[in-house]
Amino acid sequence: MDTMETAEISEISTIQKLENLLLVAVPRDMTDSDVLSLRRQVLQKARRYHSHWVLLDFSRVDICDSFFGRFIQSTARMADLMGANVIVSGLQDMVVETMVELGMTLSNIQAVLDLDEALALSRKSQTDSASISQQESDEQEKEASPADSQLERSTSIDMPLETRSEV
Amino acid sequence: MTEKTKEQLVNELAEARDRIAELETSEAELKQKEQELRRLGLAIEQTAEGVATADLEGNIQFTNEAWAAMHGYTVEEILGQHLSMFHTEEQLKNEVTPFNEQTLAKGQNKGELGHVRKDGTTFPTRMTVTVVKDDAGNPLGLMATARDITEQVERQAALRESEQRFRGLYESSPLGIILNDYETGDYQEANDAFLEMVGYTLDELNQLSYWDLTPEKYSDQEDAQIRSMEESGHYGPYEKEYIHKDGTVFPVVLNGVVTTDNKGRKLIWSTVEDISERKRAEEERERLQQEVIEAQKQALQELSTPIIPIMDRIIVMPLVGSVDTMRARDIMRRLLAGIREHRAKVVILDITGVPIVDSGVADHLNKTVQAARLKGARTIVTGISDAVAETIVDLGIDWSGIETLSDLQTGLVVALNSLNVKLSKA
Repeated sequence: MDTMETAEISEISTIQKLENLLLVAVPRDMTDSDVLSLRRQVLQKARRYHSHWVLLDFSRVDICDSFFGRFIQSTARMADLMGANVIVSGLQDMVVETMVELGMTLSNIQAVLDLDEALALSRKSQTDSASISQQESDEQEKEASPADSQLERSTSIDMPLETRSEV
Repeated sequence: MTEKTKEQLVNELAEARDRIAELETSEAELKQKEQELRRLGLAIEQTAEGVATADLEGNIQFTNEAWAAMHGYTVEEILGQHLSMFHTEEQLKNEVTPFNEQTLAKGQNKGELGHVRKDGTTFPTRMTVTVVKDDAGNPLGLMATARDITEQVERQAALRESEQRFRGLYESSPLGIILNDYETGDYQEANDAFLEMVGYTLDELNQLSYWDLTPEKYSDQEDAQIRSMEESGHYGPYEKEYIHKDGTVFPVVLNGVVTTDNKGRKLIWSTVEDISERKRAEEERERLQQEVIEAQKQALQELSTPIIPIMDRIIVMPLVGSVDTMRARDIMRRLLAGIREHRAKVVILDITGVPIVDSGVADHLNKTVQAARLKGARTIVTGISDAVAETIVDLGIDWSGIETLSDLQTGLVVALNSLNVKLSKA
């Protein structure tokens, strides 16, 4: 597969919008120019869709090199400048082991297990920000919360888009 | 009476004197001859060789002490008898008659003949029989010398038996046995076992160059073996390989000793053992051993690093035992797999069972925590004893990035909190 074809495919399926998330399925075996091209596209699309989150998914990547680390860091910084948060997901076990050995811990970037988690995270932050404003308005009506008899669960984990009211 | 003249008397006197002188000379010569004969007689009498003389018909004229003693007789007992008294009927028929024919034909004969003693026992002799002739060539009689060669014969038999025994060993040995010239390396002898081992005949072997049979990579070792022989006269056990005529290479072990033949030429005797089977068995054993060790290691690891999912999205990994680099790698691997499998968001890593926490272990734990984070999981380390806490601080280990709690219970509560789960009494 030469670079031309790769570019075409990445146009179609590599970058996708999902809610306020921009999903980037990072392909394996990218060349230098592939990387630059991908990064540019990501930033372009993030601006176009006003994405709050950019998810770099590495499920297809099984080799980690220093290149890899720089790509993530630079994309994160650039996206950050544009007001978007970068999350990484799908890092394979072997890749994680290598990264940790090389000291490449990406300490300033949030990591999640997979797409589900990333989605949950983005939705939670949405409802959190909603409930924070709600809370401020609820400040006047303070109620004591009786002890419930069941296990309470955070709805943001397993139920989509539902606002939760603080009790 | 005719009166002799004075002249005649003088002549007669002169003649008489001449005659006396002649007689005296003859006498002296006779005396000398007598002495010679006497000496000869003594020599014959005293020699250890048996000597006997007989007439042409075989009637004994003389035997010396040695001859008589050899046969268990005294000289008196023998005189007047026939030479055939010293042989059995069988000996006479089978050995003596043909021997005598030769003697008479050639004038002298040598050979081995069986004799019999007075007591009936037989013994082998080496005999020389000569037909004694006068100056004219007329046969006068027979002279025989004999030596009891019982000892020699026995020795020869023993030697032959020994030779047979060793030849048997040599030929039927499962080990290859070879004899090489020390200087040239040529094969002097090679038993069947060896020839079969290498697939060549003896001639073919001597046509080969040294490295046709031994792989060249052994050249240094070969030199070492030669040195050993120079120093101690032997070499081995020496493990190397041979190349069979068909090209296959097989392992062998050699042992050798330097020897000289009766001409003083240096030779080397070597035994060659084909150890293909042994090596195969060894390799098999080692492989099995490795397998067992691996299996045990695996079992041990599995035993000591379980992952316990205690609640939805929360896993506990209790570590038991010391943590070295290899184990740390394994722990990390298991943890990452566990996070993936259980989709864990919180990992409680309990180190109550880890006896020693030094900077190495701390470093391993650090890496594990970072790795877990990259998989989207938060790690809480619990079970830090007071001793461990002291060590960590004293060693100046930086664990500021790691969440630590004293025990599992507290860790669980914190984990639940982070998932927004509250436990309450029913």
